[in-house]
Amino acid sequence: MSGPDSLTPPAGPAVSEPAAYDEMVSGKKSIRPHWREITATLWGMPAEIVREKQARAAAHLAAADQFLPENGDANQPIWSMDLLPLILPEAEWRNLSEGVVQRARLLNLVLADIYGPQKLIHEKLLPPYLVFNNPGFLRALRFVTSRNAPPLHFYAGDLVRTPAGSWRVLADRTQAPGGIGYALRHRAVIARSFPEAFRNTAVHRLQPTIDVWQSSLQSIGAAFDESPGIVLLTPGPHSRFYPEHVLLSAELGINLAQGSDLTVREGMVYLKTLNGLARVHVIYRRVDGEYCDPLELRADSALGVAGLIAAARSGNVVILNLPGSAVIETPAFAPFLPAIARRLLDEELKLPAVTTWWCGQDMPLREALSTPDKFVFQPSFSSDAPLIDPATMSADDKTEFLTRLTATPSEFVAVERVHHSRTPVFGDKGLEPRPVVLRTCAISVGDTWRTLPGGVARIADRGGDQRPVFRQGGLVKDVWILKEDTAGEASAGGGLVELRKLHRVADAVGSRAADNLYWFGRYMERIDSGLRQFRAVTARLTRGTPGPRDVMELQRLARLLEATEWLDEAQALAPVDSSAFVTGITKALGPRGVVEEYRTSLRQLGIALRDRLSQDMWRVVSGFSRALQPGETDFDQALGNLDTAVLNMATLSGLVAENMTRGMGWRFLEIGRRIERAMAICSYIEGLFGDRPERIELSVRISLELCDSIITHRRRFPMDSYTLPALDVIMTDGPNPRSLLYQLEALRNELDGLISHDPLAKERELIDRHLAALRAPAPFAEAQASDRLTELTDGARACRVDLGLLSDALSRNYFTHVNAPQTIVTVFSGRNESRAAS
Amino acid sequence: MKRYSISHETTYHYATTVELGLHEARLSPVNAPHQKLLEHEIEVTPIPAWTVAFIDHFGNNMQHIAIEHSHDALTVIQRSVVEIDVPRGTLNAGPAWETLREAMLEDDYPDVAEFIYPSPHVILDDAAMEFALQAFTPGAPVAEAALKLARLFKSEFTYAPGATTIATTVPEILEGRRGVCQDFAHAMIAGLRALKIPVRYVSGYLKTYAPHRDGEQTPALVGADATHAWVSVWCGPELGWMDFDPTNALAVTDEHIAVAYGRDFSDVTPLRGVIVGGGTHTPDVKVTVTRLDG
Repeated sequence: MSGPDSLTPPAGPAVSEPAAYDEMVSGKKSIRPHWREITATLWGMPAEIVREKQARAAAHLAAADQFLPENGDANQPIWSMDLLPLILPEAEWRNLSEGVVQRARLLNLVLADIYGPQKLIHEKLLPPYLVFNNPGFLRALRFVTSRNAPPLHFYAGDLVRTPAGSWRVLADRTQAPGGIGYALRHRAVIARSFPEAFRNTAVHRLQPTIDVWQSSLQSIGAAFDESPGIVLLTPGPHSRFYPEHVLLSAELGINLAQGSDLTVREGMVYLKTLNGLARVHVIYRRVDGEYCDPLELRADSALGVAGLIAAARSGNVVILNLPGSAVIETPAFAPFLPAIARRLLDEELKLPAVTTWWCGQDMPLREALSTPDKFVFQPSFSSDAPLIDPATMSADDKTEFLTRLTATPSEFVAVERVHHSRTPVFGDKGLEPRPVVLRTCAISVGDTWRTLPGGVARIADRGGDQRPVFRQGGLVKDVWILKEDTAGEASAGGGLVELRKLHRVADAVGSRAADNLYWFGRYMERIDSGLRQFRAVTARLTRGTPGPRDVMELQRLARLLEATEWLDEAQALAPVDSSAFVTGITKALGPRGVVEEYRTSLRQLGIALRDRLSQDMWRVVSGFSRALQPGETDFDQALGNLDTAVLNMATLSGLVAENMTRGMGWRFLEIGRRIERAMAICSYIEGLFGDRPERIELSVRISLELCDSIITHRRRFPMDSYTLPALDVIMTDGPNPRSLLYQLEALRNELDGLISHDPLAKERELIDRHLAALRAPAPFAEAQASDRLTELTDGARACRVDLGLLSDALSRNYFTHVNAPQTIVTVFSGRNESRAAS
Repeated sequence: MKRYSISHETTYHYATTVELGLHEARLSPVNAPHQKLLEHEIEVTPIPAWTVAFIDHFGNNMQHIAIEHSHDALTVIQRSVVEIDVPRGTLNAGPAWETLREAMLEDDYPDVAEFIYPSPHVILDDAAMEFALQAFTPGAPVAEAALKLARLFKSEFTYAPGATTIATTVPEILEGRRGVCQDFAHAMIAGLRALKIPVRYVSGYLKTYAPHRDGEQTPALVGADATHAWVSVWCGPELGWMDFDPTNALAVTDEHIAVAYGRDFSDVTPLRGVIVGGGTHTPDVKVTVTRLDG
């Protein structure tokens, strides 16, 4: 091994924690066999290459996470990723996997019992307190069962390895756990940044599990319909897990839906699409159970669907997992599961939890109170709450905690201290052993379960054996299960050649998506128009002391910026050579300026449309840099930046034109763009000619400049010096994609393609009238300035107003603006009052 | 054995049109050991697109009502006929309350254990427990003590409609010593749960005028022909659930018609809904209870 010193393996397990198991190094201080290939590959590479790979992996992961919500810094990924995977040999995985499956089977039966006959409580195998006082027990779901699917469909378990080398469950995750999407993404990242690692190593692929999962969902739905409607119910773009929801819905070939995209009619669940209501039979739920239905569960929830539980109870929809599945996450169930396993499965638990005692029982309580430092404590009902560790508490805090424990012992569990196993992580000084927690996932398939051969390994801080909380992110690793029999499969490249089945789904465009796409199109063009106007101003400001002609042009541009609402009146009316004017422009282009405001809006629409924009489009939308940095007033710099920004918008237009499928969604985006661009042209005409300016050629020239039509003009009218008829280029020149005629024709085309355009009949007529006027032969050719000017500006104004009417009509007819429902409760006749909650 | 016919009419006049209204009704009287539901129907105006009936976690009758077209008003009329027996058993038959308390702490009666824990409207409150202990004297049989406690509410609290709202908490009720039947029920439940005695909230009706017998007329009781609320106490395995009315200081016999049982009011809301549109609105509730026989 020729690698530099900094990457030599650590000398056995860290000395300070002699008890912990080391994943990579055995007790005899040799590298365990299943780690040998990858360490050989690593040590065969120069340290700086490894470091670069590590950095690249981090960058890929960050890029994939960029579309996270606005809270905090959106560019700050919640995860960072270590290049080195956690590796397990197949034989060990097989055992572990059996344990995970048994646990999922068992918890499924417990869940079915709690929401069914409750015999575990009657038979005293489960203390009533742990169910009836459990915030995860949702009474509205009692007796809600499905013939087609088990109540627990997706199980995730957080596992740790004890010093003795055996795995234990740290926490069961059954609410709506994440994991598979992240595992897929980590595999993709590592395959990209560290392909060498797969060269001599056959790693179990993840894709087959996704395929099995997809067919499992399909067969659950098949009991209703041969092509069932299946959705992933997400809380929406502001959820931390939204990226995973987008990824999984695409992988599973199912629609991504928020609560407001669904409606319940006559007890059936439907997705609202532009084609009308589409029946939904199966819901893969990623919204917490209690938020699923404001009628029967939390009334203040805006994430759910009113009537959903009634639909499920009537057997018209299957919700996976059953809302209320969080009840079996309860840490205090752990001590009771071995006996329950014997009763329900007639089996011993293969994969028990880390030893846990419920303090609601006398013996454990006495033990916990007499030697509290032997344990860590957790709330009985929350597996996410930070651990309570008496050993590290101040004397006062400890007394206070023990007082609470004595007063309300049922609210706590005591958990044995376990040294989590260590796995190597790239640190500042080479490899460092760090505690690891493994998230595993299992999916129900018919009557059996299937585990994902892989998962997400989470790394705790150097400090100790904390439990990393999934939603808080942190340092993660890919998990590799090595194939035992690699004959004919070696270097199949675990993640490299993931041939996948093509999942084609009918593109059901939701009304909300159509609304967002329409406004995305409008904002694109609005920003483009603003950038071009500001660029025209900035270009003239960089020419040194403006001459009389510059001043005149700047005045016209300033007034146009006001008319198009980019500058306010005071800024626009300031003399163009005054510092007030310069300040106005600087402000508009700077941080928190109007340009940035619009870009933020576009970005937010982009977030809402994240599942419909390609990575490239997203990169353009999220990658804008502002024209002026804080405190900057260098217009030369700004001009360069505005050029770049205009190019960025052009890139976006290009991607929209070339890379988006011509579906209903694209059509709405296109309609938005055409309406906005046509409105911009009308505004130029109104703003630059409305007051019958002197030296009309200056206005003509600016109009052509803003419409990017200078070249077209030169070619069409080589000898012209910007006389009024030259405006034909941007008004009636059909082939010019910047002309008004072009916009209206394109718009008219797309309107005809709408599924039902009848509701827009009146508005279409208005557009047709403007089209006819523009198509009339050479309307401006023989323009006698003053006569034609009036006609020109009046026509532009009328066209802009009519486009506004069209926009309103579109909105009315196609975008369901969901009124926030309110909850009403008849209180009690003695009170005669009602309560409304939003 | 007595038979009653009940009509319970709730009307909402909405300030603005409602496009979509989904409602959940717990209006049909529950079937219970001493009470048989002989007939029942629900009439909704406008005609719903979909209704479905089922039994909830507590054994109550529940209807889901979906109205899927524009409407400006909603009327739900519940009509039913019930037959009620006088509960058997004498008040001093059950165990001493401390014995039951011990058994509950040992989870000896898991079927009724749900009703010793706090619930949304009933937190376990020291003042409520202190108040309950005035009746739950050492060695007192559960049922006897419960009746005594119900009487304490009547004598020490003022029936005062309008003094409280649904948001008034148990400690506030005990502090103010006034309220309506719902408040007294919640306060009594809080005290009993603090003592680990299983206790349920009951929503229902009370027929106040007993038949004219021997020319004598029983005096009108509060809550006449309106929805009423009281409590149901589990008095040990022999007596089972027995109902007590703290508002009227009595052990329930055959003039209380139970509609639904729950941990507290939030489990038995007669009608709740999610509507789109509607603006502000107040319900108009009319209850008529008629004695059918004798």
